[in-house]
Amino acid sequence: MRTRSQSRSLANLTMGSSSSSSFDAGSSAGARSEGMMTGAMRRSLANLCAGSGSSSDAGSSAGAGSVAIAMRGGNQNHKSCCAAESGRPMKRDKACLSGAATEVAIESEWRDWADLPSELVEEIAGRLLSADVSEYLRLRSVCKPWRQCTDDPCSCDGGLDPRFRPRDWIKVSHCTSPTCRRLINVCTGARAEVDHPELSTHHCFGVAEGLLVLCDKVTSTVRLLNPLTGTLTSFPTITDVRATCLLPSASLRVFKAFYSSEPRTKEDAPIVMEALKVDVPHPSAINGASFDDSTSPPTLVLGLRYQHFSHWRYYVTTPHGDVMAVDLCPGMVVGPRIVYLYKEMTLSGKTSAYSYLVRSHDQRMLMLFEVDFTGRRLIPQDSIGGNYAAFVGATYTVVFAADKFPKLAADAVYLHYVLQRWRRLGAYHFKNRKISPPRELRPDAHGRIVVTCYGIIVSV
Amino acid sequence: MAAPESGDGNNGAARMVTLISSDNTRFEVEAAAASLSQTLQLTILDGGGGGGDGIPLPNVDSATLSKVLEYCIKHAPAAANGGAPNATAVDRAELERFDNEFVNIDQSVLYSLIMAAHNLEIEGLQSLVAKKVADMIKGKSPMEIRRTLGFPDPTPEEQAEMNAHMLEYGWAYE
Repeated sequence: MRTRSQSRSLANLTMGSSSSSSFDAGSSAGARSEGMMTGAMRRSLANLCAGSGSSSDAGSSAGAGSVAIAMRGGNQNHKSCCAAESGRPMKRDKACLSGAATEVAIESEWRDWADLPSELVEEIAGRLLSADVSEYLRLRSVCKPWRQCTDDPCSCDGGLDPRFRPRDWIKVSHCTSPTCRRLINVCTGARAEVDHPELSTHHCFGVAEGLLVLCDKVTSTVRLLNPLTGTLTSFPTITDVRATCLLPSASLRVFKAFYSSEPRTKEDAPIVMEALKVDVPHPSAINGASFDDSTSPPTLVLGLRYQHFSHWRYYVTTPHGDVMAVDLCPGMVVGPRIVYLYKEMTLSGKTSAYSYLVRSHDQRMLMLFEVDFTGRRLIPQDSIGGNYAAFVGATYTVVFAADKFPKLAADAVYLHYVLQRWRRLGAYHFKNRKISPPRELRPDAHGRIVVTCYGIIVSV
Repeated sequence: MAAPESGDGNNGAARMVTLISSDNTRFEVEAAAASLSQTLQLTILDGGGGGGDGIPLPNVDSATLSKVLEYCIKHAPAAANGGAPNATAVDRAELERFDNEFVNIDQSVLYSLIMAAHNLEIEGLQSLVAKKVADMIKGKSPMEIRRTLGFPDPTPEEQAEMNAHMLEYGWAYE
């Protein structure tokens, strides 16, 4: 095994791509005949030389002497590329060119990836970050230079930079230690074990964009924990939201929404009230948390349990199958309100249904699943995509990539605890429109039958 | 001159430029292909690189330059069309196939390529290689990334630093 310094000097000798020796060659060739150069040439050559990373003070006149301003008629037949040892151009056709590229096979040796120019590291890191935060974190761990030229998730925007939200990760609740959690990526099947002392001193309200919404067991301070980066951000205590200044990077709002279950008239709009100064005796009083990125800074929205809430940018579904969104009305005098997104498919007032909002993996659409009977005006879904399995629950819904989790049935909706425990409904399979475990579908005591899953796609 | 000179000037003929690699190999290539490089484009617009003189590229060796030019020649027609308008799906698929095969190479060549693309400001090539490197890194631990890219074995201090960094995130690694 070569030592680091040996390899480095070898790389310089053969490549000259990241070393000062290449500049020497360039600048000695340049006869400093600046008179010959146009501005653009000088600029371009300076770029060419300065781009190599290790020396930023490359002479701007390097190589100038050998550039001639001359035009000549070229070969118009096809693209050609000539290479010759003697300096006299020798014609080669395209096939030869690619042949030449493989002929001059470069021996495999260590290149100093650690010294990659920072813009290139940033570009690679950016691609990894758009794939997943954990990929980005691992890249940062590779070496110190890479760490230095990439943003630290813990210090960006008070730790709440949206780029670092671990959207596709969920935490598994039960673990051996009170401070440890196993995290699972629902898209890739990747797993990680994390250890955060805060987990034992806080209740966990829920998850907003992958961030754990925690409430201090003693002080009721709301905190956000990024389980992948360990970043902890503190908000005011939940009982004292109005009195406290907002964080520069996000604000917090707690909502309570009411809507009538009576048949609605036009005026009968649901009311949303900002439930400030509320006591939250138990974490279960919070039923859904989400970021609303339409405000600046983003607003963390917590919903107090009242009828049925689904979350994600604070969307709300009603038992009737309506979809509503909390509109924070940033910059306007009127307070926050709830606006209807979908009202068309509303079931009759006497019908009670289960409705869930589920975010699909392409981050663009939102689906509502109805598990109920007649559903006259709902559009039946044929599939949620052959590769997906959705879990729907009262406070959280999540979609798994079924090919990464072989034990899950694909194109199926797993129903939540209450339905499974009390109504013996396990999973709904789109392929045969059956509920498992198999059971005869009869009206229950309330005249309800579960027939199928209905859904709509909401553009947001 | 190997290339036949057209008698009536450069009327309709593709203009050629000569590039000289760090090891003094000369490459003759259509100006349109070389102009994929923002850096070279400026020089070429100023009339540089023609005739017997050529543009020296002291940071790029001949093996890398021939690879770079292979890319430029393939992508020049599409770039001349302004990318999309009359490109057919077949053309695009062909370019995509070419790109995929093009970066299916050893990490050391990738390194030379991305450095050359960076120095010559060839945006498409730079992002192609960056994407390839990102794909190679994906799903790997820091140690595996180092091995994949041929980093030398970490010194004890570097190893300690890597571990400390993951612990900082709260990762109880492996």
